[in-house]
Amino acid sequence: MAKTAVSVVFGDYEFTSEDIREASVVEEFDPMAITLPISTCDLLLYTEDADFSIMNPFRKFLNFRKKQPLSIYEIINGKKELIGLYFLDAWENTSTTLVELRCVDQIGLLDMLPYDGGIWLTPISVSELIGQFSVDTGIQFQIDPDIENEQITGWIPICTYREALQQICFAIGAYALTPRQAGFIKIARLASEHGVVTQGIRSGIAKTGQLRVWQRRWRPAQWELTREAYRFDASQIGTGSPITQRPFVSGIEVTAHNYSLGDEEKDLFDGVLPVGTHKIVFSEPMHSLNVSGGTIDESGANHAFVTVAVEGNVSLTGKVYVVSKNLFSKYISGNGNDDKESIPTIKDATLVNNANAAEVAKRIFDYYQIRLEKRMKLFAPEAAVGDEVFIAVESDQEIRGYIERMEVNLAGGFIAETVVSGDVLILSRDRYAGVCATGQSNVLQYRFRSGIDNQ
Amino acid sequence: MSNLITIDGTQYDVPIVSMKRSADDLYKYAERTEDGVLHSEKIGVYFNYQIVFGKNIGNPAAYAALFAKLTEPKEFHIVKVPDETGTHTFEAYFSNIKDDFVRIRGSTRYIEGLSVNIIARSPAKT
Repeated sequence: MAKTAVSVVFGDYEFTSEDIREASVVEEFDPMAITLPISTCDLLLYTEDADFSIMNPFRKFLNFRKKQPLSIYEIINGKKELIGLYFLDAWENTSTTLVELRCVDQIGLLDMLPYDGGIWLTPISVSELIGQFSVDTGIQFQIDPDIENEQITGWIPICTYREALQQICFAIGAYALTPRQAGFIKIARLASEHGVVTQGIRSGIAKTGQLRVWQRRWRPAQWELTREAYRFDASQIGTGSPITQRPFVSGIEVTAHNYSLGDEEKDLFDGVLPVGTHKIVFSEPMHSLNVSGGTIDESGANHAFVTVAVEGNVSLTGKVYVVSKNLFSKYISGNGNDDKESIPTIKDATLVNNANAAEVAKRIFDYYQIRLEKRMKLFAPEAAVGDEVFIAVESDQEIRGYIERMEVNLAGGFIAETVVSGDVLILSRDRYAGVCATGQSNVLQYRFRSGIDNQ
Repeated sequence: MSNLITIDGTQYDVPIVSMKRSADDLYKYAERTEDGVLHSEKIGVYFNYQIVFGKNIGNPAAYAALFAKLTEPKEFHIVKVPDETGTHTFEAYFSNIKDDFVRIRGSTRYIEGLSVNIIARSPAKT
């Protein structure tokens, strides 16, 4: 079996196996960005170095205000693999020599940073918007070339950068992934990656002459961050690995938000302000701002910085945006008469509008129809969160899905408690035979046809 | 037998009645996959010892010094014991130290059955 060791690097200081009592990471991603999970890392370190004492005011490491970055590595059979870049979130000296650290990934860091939001009536590209995030936060992003020119319109309220990134990813059907990335957040889309997986027919590159895959085949360059798919069978999966079914979802309802300039004027602030620069925030997006008693230094849809030279009354007004909301839906029955409890509603996706709402509703609906959840224990796997996997299960069937979660014991042999969401893979030969799903009586005879032919 | 063990560079003139050696494996994990095969990652093999010493009456001062050494408030000691071809020196801690007071006659104490478990700090083989 693999020989494993863990390494934690703070700047030029490295903790190795002899210093590390416990080390684990919980890595997560949401393929549809319905949420934007924060991956975490917990460490218990043994050190006699005063620089790691919480009582030492002159310590050079672990400055809370700076959210000290640390890189986590796993050495597997002598090969050093980056597990991820994490940032200190909480720190406790449990004794004079034991230091307990709780760390979060870049998405966790984005969750600590406030974002002023904005409104885009004319489309802005994903790369431009996220590029601005990178400038603002210092966090690097890698965006799949297939989606970097996707256009965004709509409003983002004042929130955190994490919430804003979730809104963007949700609107374009992308995910944000940090585990095993070299210090950046990977923004990609499952369907896009799936199209270039180098696995025969599943790559979408089945045969020459197939128009459906022509574009992918002649894609200028395969994205360097594309990962291969992995296969698992009983020889790689620990005992006690159940398959469960996620809750039934019979439909999805998405509210589209369409913004336009309005004429109604509103008072945004009226009161006495002292000398200085003051930030005034709005509860809804505003435009055409007017101020008296001060000057507007900088403003956006959700805020304005007003500078007051002489203490006195300041009045700030602005015009509203008009928002029209439409409901887009998709139901199994086609009419929405299903049990309402099984129909999730998404009302706050303010970058979803009439142009993309139908596509969003279909995408989320399709995702919720993937209901199998395979939990399994893997031993020093190469596969990581976000990877496509094929899992051999009983009856010669395979589950095809994506790793959504891994809880990895880095100091205990790199054992990964893994969660895969997926569905039973219908082989192409069965599909051609008419076997699309179990329980379809009209295709039963086709299913057993090959057996009859053999007799 | 008394010269067979050295602790922190000192030999103690107390006879050894028995010295048992065990080679204990330590694993990071050991679990089976669904096909029934065991998977594991071995950290190493530890040579641990259980020693029973003789009575104190032969050299009460050496016995007292040995007991004092075994019960020192110190985490680890350097221990040298014989092996098949020479000696094996390793860092260890002591546990389960005990002996029996048989009787006391005047100022003379009769003690026997001193035993100690010597647990290696690091694996002998990795």
